[in-house]
Amino acid sequence: MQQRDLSGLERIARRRSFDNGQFVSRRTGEKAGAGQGASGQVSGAQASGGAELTLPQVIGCFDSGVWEKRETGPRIFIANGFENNRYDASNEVVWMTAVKDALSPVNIGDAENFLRRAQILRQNFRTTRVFRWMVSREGFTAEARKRLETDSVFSTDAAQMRILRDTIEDCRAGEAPSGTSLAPNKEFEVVLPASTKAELVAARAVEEIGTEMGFDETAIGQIKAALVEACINAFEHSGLKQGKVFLRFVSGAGRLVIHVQNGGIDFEKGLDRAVAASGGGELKKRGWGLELIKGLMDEVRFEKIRGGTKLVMAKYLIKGAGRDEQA
Amino acid sequence: MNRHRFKELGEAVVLYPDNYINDIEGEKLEEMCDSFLEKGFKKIIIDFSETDIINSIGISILIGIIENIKGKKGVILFSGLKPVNYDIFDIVGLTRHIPVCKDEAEAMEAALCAGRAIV
Repeated sequence: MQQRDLSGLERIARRRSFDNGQFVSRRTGEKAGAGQGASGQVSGAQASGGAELTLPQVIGCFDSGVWEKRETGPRIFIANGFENNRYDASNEVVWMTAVKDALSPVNIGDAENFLRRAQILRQNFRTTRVFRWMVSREGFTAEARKRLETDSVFSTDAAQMRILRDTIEDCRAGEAPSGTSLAPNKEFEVVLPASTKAELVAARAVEEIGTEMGFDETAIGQIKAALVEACINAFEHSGLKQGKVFLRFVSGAGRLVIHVQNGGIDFEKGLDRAVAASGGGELKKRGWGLELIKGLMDEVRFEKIRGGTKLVMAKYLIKGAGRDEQA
Repeated sequence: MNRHRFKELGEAVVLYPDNYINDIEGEKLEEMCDSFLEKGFKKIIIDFSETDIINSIGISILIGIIENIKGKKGVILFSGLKPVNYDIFDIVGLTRHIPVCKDEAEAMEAALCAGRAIV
């Protein structure tokens, strides 16, 4: 089992080129590029002219909860592995990663919190080779980034993380046509204010994106209707009069993925409640939101995030492609 | 605030909702249906050929309209549905309760037949 995992990671560690800039930013002059012995690490990428990605050969991963009973802040994920395919103490490496999945960027307080906790946690390991990595959905304040750079801490925002994740998935797929697997994702973000018909702005945006991707008129109509529904529910259950709805559209690999998130309470519960409250055999009047979204999109799921829930839905260019892959 | 367009044809009336049927537009449509029912129109055709999006609140209002018209022994038909709106009506089960016609002319013909059946 262990050997199979390592083989997979070796495949992932193949050299790949990207035009999207860095995956993991780090202090200038400390980037581990090609031929610098970066095997077993997520290497810093060259800012231009392509990049090399090498992932750690991880043998175990857990979160810091077992050691940090009273700490605040995001959990720290700890990965333990070895470099150079040699499983001895001198090649042991530990990665500590904090993920801030909130609607605000990592600030100096978050950075200091992570540095302090990582310093305590590293005492649990014999190796001195400890890498620290902060991942943030909303990026980093300038002050926080500077602080992290000073301490040689890797920092990755959501866009960089998605590129990294998609690359890993592409490598795992193996058989995926190279022409599509390397196609960069396009990503758009829209923030809707609480105003009348704001959801139509989202519909207009997704119409443009969908048309460019090659969806037909019917599919675009379905995506628009599902998105309108998702936005309405996100506003309705934000719990805030002036609440905003945050949308992210990711197009690539033959599908459009839409993330819908509000800054308030869990709107999955609102959708479920409405459905549960409906009647039996007769035409029910309310609570069609989630059923419509599920009926119009190819994939729908809710992701728990700090402060609520995020709705993620996808539409495939080829009908049923995602379902086939899952089967 | 503009009201929906409409066209009176004998004992039938055709209503043309806006591009987006939400709570506000749905309520306007409901008011118009009530108004025509009060005037004695028993056959109401809602032509959705100009409607791109119907949200779930709009759906719930449409269901209320259907129940109201049927409760008053009237006839209601839909026409001109775009594919996505047909999908939506199908998901919520409306297509099993309401005749859905390809266009206004077909709906008018169906309304006349329905009228004869009722009489």
